[in-house]
Amino acid sequence: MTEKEKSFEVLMGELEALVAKLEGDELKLDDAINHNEEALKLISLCRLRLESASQKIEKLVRSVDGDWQEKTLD
Amino acid sequence: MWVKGEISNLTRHSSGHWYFSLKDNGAQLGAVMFKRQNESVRFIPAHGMEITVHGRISVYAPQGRYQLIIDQMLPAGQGDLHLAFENLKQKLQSEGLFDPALKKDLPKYPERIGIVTSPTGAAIRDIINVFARRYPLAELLLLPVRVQGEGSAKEIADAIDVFNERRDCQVLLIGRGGGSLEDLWAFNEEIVAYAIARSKIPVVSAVGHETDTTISDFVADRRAATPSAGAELIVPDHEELFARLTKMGQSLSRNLLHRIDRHEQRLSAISNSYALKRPGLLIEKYIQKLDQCQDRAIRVSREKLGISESRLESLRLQLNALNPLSILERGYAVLSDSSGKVLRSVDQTKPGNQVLVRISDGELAASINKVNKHKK
Repeated sequence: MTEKEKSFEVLMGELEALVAKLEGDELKLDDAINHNEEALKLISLCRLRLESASQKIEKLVRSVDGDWQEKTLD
Repeated sequence: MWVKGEISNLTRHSSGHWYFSLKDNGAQLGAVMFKRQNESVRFIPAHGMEITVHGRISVYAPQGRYQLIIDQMLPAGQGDLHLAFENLKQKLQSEGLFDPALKKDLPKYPERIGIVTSPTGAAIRDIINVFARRYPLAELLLLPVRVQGEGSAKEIADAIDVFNERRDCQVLLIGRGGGSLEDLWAFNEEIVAYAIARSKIPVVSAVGHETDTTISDFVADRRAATPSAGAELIVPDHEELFARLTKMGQSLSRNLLHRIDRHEQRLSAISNSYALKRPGLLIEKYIQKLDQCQDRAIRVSREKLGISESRLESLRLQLNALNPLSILERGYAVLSDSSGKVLRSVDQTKPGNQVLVRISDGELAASINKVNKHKK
């Protein structure tokens, strides 16, 4: 799964896991630097998601054959 | 609890309190409604009147009997809904539908939110406003239903089922704005309660105003006082998320700098240590090298010495061949005079002299009989 395909929840989950690891003292300096870089990347990705979000609102309408269809809500 | 019955033996006492019996076909119960409560009753009770009352059971000690202390009284028709509410609540409770263990957690960051409410009216506008302000990340999917009137409960229940068939929403918000008990009634119906209970998707119930409580509130995974409050419950605030992400980034940088600092301190502590500053350590390196050289030298010397030893052996053999004793073994003898001096010439002795003859395995004492010198 590329980062673009990941949901905000998944991204936040990964970020929180990285932060938890980094707050622990177990990491070697090299790993800490790599994890830190990764975490910073995730943060800016999450921020971007929040910034660029525009709400999509749809409604379900039952068609003649009984199926539900999504239509933009006016 | 809500109880329905017929008034009999009504006494409206001069103190303002009302005393009567509440009875149905098979039983009767003493009842009292004190002045403070009965002042708000909007009709005049009379013998034989059907009423629905709300109150609590207590024991009237002087007579040792149970009685109902009433705090609300409605004419039977109006009270029916209260009674139905109470009955259904008890029924569903006993069936375990309100069990806290069944409550599902709401997703932290829902991607798609299903909404079951009326497409017109204040509720949906409020809900959309809250979602737009707090968390524009989530997609909203409204399934428009009627929220009051005949058949509305079935529409609501079916909508919950439709979302459960679709499975594209992580959480459902069901609700409507405020209204009378009758207006909100759809959310008090069994069919809605069971639809919420069997929903695999977490359901938030947000019906009416602050004070309204519906059956759907009890069954739902979370309840909210109003539709807006329901929406707020479902999504995080993206401003807060922003702030949290910023804070996270800052604390990460601090954390890493701190970590690097610690390593730097350790490194400088090591490089400043006595051991590294002491030149002896450098010498030790050479000492070690010297030791290695020495070992090698010894090994090489031993090899060389081995060669000398074999040479020595052959030399020793050569020398052995020249040893006078080995000459004696070949049959020669050495003569010496009485003073021990070796005789190299006949001139050194004369007949009658004693001499010592040394041969390989011993000495002989002998005397000279005749001297005969060779001419050169």
